[in-house]
Amino acid sequence: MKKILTLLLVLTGALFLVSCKKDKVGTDGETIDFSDSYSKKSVIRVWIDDEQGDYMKEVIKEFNKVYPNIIVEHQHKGSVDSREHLKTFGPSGNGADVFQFPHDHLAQAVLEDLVLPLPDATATKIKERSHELGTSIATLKYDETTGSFDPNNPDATERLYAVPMSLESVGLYYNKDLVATPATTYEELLAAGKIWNAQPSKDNDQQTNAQAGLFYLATSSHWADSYFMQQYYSAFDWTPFGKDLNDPSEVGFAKLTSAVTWIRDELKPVVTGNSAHDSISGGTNFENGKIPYIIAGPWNVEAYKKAGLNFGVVKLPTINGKETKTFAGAMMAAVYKYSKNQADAIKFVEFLNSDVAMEIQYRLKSKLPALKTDLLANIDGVLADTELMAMSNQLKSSVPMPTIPQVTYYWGPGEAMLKEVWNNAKPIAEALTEAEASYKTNLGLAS
Amino acid sequence: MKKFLLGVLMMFSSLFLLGTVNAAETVTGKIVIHFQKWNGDYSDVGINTWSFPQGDPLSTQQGPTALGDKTKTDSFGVYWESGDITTTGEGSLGFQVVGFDNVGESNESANFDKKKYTNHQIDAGIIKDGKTVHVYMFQGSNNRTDNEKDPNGVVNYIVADPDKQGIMVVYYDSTGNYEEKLGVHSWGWAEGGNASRWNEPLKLFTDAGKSVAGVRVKAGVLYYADPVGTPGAIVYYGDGDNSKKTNNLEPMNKDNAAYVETPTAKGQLDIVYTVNAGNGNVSNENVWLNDAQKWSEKAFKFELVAFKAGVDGKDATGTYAANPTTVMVSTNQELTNIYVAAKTDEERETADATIKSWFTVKEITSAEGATTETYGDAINIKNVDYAKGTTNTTLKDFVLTLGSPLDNSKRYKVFFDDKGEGEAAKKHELELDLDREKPVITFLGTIAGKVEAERIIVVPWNKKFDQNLFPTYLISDDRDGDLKSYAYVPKGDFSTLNTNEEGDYVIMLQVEDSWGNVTQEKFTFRVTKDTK
Repeated sequence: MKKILTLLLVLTGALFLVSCKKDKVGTDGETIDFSDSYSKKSVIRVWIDDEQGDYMKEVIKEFNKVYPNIIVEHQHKGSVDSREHLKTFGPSGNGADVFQFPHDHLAQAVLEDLVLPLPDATATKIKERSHELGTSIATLKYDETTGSFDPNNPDATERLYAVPMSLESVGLYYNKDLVATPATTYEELLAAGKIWNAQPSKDNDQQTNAQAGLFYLATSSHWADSYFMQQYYSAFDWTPFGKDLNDPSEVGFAKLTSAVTWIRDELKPVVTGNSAHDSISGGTNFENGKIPYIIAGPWNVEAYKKAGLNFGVVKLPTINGKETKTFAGAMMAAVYKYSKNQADAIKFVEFLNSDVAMEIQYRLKSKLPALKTDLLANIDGVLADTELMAMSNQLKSSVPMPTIPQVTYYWGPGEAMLKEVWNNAKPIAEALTEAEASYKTNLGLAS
Repeated sequence: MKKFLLGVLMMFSSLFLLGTVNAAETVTGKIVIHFQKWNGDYSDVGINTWSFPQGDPLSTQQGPTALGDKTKTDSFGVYWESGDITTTGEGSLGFQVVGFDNVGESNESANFDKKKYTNHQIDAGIIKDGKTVHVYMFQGSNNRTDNEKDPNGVVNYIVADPDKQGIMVVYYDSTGNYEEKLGVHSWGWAEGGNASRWNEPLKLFTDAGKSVAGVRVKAGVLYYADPVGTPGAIVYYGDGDNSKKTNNLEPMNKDNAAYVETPTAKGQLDIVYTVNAGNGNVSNENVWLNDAQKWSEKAFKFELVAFKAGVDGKDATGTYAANPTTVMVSTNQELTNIYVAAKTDEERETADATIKSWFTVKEITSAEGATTETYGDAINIKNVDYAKGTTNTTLKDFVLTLGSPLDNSKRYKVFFDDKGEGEAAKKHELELDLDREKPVITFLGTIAGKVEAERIIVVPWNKKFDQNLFPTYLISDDRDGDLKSYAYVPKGDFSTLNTNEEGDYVIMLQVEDSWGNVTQEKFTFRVTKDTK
């Protein structure tokens, strides 16, 4: 009996212990290691021109929805400063992993060993979505060993170096209160300009519009700026550095005679009269609603809107029936070649090409997304934006900016040549010869 | 009588209306544009203008050679006189002062990229009928608001009232740390020029120029009353005597540093130059009248630029240790980039070695405030980075990579010496700003303000963990700002929780600043059946 009682006691005790243990260790809970969900994140630094920071703040927020473990530090940096500062701060790891610059800085940046060529997979993705003009500007044929951009160099490799973010081109802006139907040919525009210039000025009927400095057509730059003047050169079948814009052996000024003659004899009398190439404050005149036309870019739109102008943008007129093709420019983002976090930096530049990032850029920066035309429909509001669509239309016939580094030595001689012809009546042949010589001298000094 | 009064009234009304109409009509007047360049060398200075009347002496682009005798000099710097300008007062006159390359040679040309000394659209409304208006521009000024704008805001020109006499007070602080309330205590000036009371400074200054290092120069105008009397002003920031940057500036007191013996003619200004020489400074040894050279020598003397923390997405600037092995150095003057100027590899190697030799970093071994400072051995500098690209002809930023780490419990100094001789020598030293503070983690919610042992968060036993129970927190750092997103839980003894077993689970949150200072804070998840 004792034994039975002892056995029952042990059994009850064991059951009690088991039930106690079962009570203390649950089965519906979980074990969590917070080092997984609160892990150390990687960090990339981006230098993008965004003074207020609101554009980048939104982009980073969206990027982190896709990549929550990458911290993106944005520092506002003027797009021209980026390249300069990266040379100093990059090597020690204190620069940016991603930086932004305008089209004409790309070749120099590559030459200065700052830009990482994008991997093939990224290049494929970007090319699938980006506007051809943007990718062509961002693609270079380069021999890293010799630092050569010579297109005929068999050792040069063609690669995509940057992601085009936005595209731009100059166009013909007109005041709708002064012009009912904008001109489609320069012949028509200049003929109307002659009449306007000779009419008495509204502010002072003792002066003609021309005497009051209110010339019919203005430029938001000046009349010797080769970027703006390319439209005229193109109408005479001329682009710098040859047809493919990549032969640095010569600019080819000698073939510009017809274009410069037209500029001197047809354009100049209507846009400045006998005055200098930069004598007219066209931007102010247009903003004040005093003249009908200006050649300007998307960067001027904000000022025109602020001034309350009733304006429109159209494609630049033809000359002798030929298209006036402008230079297409682009703002680009690239990965720093010596970034310690290239993988994440590449993810970020790829993201800049996404619909989400492009929509933010359009909404907050009013820039034309550098996307293929059929993808623009994905960006809310772009197709309804008449100014941007006019620029998009202009871009259809634009030529990409030359990307060879020697383009740096084109602008100065190009400007000096036009100034000499415009302001000092230098014979055109002489001015063109001097410009080519000046380019070659500069190139010799630089190499 | 009524008719007579009505007639008089109508006559007055029409005269008044006529006056109003006249005010909106065209006026014809001249402007004189004064320009001051910090180094006083005007040999390369030319202009680029637009909207000036055709044939005006100042129209279009003119280099130093083309300007010739049109460039005149005075104690301010150089100046140019326009011809008659007729305007309705609308719009503006474009005026850029630009440095020209190859002066005197056939290829003399404006260097817009590197030498745009001023960039303005002068309001046509400043032109007064039959009068000459003087406009003062300092180097680095830019009032453009279009794509050529200064990203940090307008740096304006100063216009003198053609009907008044007065002074311009110029003030410069090389650190750029201008106090929010900076202004003048002023008395005895024409209306609008007098402070209301002590410690309520008259906000006289606007940004009027910019040093090569990018630091704003402040200036403002005070006009004499009629009769002149004995006006005075003190530059200060409205926080008692210790906030004085100068003593009394009294143009009519012949014993004063700002004494003007013969005031300039109406419409022009005498210039009282001042620099920041510390707070509570009443020596007036930092005051010069109409002596731009002495002032600029003092104001822009070669220096290493002091550290300024980065805010709102902008970089930290100046001279400081970014982390234990990286020292950023910034100079207030552009130095010739001898590396880029070198032609051969051998010359480049020599130039690189020369640039490296400009810098030394040493520990300060004497106590803080010691009369004589003593130093340890020079710390090995492994590398000096600067803009070695093809286009930078000048330098002002350097990155030193040290061979051994700095200890942020110690003090260090960076020495710059270009080994130059005489007045051209550039030599300066500056104690390095080190990040000595760890980031601070501040818990919010139920454990806010509690010590570690009391930071207990109750977690229900035998249930899935509710992520909302993880504590919210803020993290700030004196240098790096908000570090909240940088926090993490290191894997190990303080990273896990098992809601199946009752007990205390200590979790550790960790964050590091860019220097490497580490902060760890712990809290406890208490898994219990008793969650009441």
